[in-house]
Amino acid sequence: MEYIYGTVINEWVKRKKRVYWIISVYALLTFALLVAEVFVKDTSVQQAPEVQWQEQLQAQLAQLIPYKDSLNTSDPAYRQVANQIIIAEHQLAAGVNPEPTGALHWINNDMSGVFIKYILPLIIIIIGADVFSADISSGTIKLFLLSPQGRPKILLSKLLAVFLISSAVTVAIHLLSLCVGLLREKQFGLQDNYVLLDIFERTIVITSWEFTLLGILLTMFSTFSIACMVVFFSLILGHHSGFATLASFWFIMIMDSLLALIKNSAPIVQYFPTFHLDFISHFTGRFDGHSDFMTSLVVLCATNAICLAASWLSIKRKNFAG
Amino acid sequence: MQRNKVIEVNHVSKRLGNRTIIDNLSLHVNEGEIVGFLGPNGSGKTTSIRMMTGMIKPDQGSIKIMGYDIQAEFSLAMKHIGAIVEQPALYGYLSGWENLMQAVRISGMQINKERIEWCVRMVQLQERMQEKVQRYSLGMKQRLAIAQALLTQPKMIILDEPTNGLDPSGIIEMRTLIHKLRDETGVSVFISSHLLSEIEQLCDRVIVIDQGKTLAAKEMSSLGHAAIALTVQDDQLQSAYHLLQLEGLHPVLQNARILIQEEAKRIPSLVNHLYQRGIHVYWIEKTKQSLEDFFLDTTQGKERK
Ligand SMILES: Nc1ncnc2c1ncn2[C@@H]1O[C@H](COP(=O)(O)OP(=O)(O)O)[C@@H](O)[C@H]1O
Ligand SMILES: [Mg+2]
Repeated sequence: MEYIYGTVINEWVKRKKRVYWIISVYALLTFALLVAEVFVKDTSVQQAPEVQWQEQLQAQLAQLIPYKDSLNTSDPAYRQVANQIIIAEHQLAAGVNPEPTGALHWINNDMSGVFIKYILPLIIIIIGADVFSADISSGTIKLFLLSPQGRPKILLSKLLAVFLISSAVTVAIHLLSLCVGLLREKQFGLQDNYVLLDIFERTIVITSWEFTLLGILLTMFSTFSIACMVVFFSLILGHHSGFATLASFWFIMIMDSLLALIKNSAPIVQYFPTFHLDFISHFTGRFDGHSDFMTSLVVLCATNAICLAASWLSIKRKNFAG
Repeated sequence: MQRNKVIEVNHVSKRLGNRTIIDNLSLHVNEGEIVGFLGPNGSGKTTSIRMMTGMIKPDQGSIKIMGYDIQAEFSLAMKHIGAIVEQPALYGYLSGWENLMQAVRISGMQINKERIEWCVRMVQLQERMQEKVQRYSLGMKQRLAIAQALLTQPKMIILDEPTNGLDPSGIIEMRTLIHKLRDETGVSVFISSHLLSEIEQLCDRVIVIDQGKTLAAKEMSSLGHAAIALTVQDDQLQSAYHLLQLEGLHPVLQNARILIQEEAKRIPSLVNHLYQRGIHVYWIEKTKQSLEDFFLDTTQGKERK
């Protein structure tokens, strides 16, 4: 246990500059957006929001329903549209604003979509893509090999370090969103309601803080999956630090766009792991593809298992010779 | 006196990239001993050390540290050794102190501040601990790595060419440090080098390796049978050599000197004998058979076969 704790601290010490850097850049961008918004803000439109969202939603529904009917049920977009309609109808019926006005909503909004598909992987790659390769290519891996911990623990603790540091950055970014949200909304909105789908795709209503917790839990799972992939590449391509980072970047951030092009002709590619990273969006009905929550969960679990097993075999058998 | 073996390497072989790099290597190091591991570049010193520290696995044979098998009981075995394999494993962008802390945190034991400071004093880096390691000289890096290896109070430290690339004063400092370490703590030292002259003055015993095989192991004390070196004029070297042969001796030409194995009391008459034949002896020195001769004898002897 003390070995694992020690390695996590070691990796943190080596990476804290990057972490501060990432958070600063993120904060700066958020700040820039806020400032831009203040200047661009159109003050002439001042309507009672209560009425506005319902009208908007109805207008949306009026477009979505014919669109759904025009789609073939095998179309990848069909499921997404159908779920949107179910949620929107429930929101109207239960009087739940799709855009709640509490600060927590700023976090909840961040959790799916672009954040988890591109920003989170980028953060994890910046933090962890060299977790083995930097040490292997510069020879400092000897520090770990010469400690009595043994190789399985080296793998485990480095993976844990990447996971924990990335999670810490995610939490910091969420806190940043929360602060901005508080500045803007002046309230937490803990009790705001959300209409979501459960894992059997039935509508449920949960409160804002419950959604935040659920989101953080699932984000952590996605973070762990990305960390497993990143660590795997870092280990097996360890002799070329830049190459390992590139491989992670390519596999996690580029491959899905390429595979999306052949998704229709080769349905098997829909099980590619990075399509499932955004599996929070199963709950918001926005998941892109045919898979349900369970499929995504299985795909991610299988990915983790494969990456871990391959890394474990690799580090067990590796000759660290020059 | 039967001394405990700190490390025992038994019939170890290793192939890498379709070549046998280490071929049936056996050696051991006793408690408190400084053992030199000598061999030309590419002879397999680093590969042996990588196996002795668990970084690569032998294809055959076994390695035991304090009686623990390095494969089966890795943690127990590795608790007893500290090592520097090839380049010191240091992070240039971290301070000297933080580099030590990196090792402390994954040492698996409680190492207090006093211990760390003791190690730092031992290698005389106390003034430079807050500085980034990338500003250290090579000698300082080596010393920091030794401090790192000492943190856990190991029974043995393994140093792979610690003097490689150091300037003469750095080499002397390193030698002094290793002696001091052994004398103050009783730690065994296994030190590899391709430079004989360095190891000669440092070690209790040397093991010579070439092309992955141990050629010989020798106690330093057994090396030093008195040889006497005679210096004569260069142009008289050959005739002096022949005269000495005629006297029933086995002279050896070394540089511009003639080495003979002879009792001291016969020297004056020998010199007189040479003088009468018109050969002037300018210097008479007592030498040891140097390790270099021994090393050359063994490596060349093998190649001649
Ligand atoms: N990973 C490797 N793959 C193939 N050959 C290697 C490898 N590492 C070292 N060697 C070869 O093994 C021999 C011994 O190398 P090494 O142990 O580094 O020698 P030394 O440390 O005595 O200079 C060299 O000929 C080297 O080319
Ligand atoms: Mg070497």
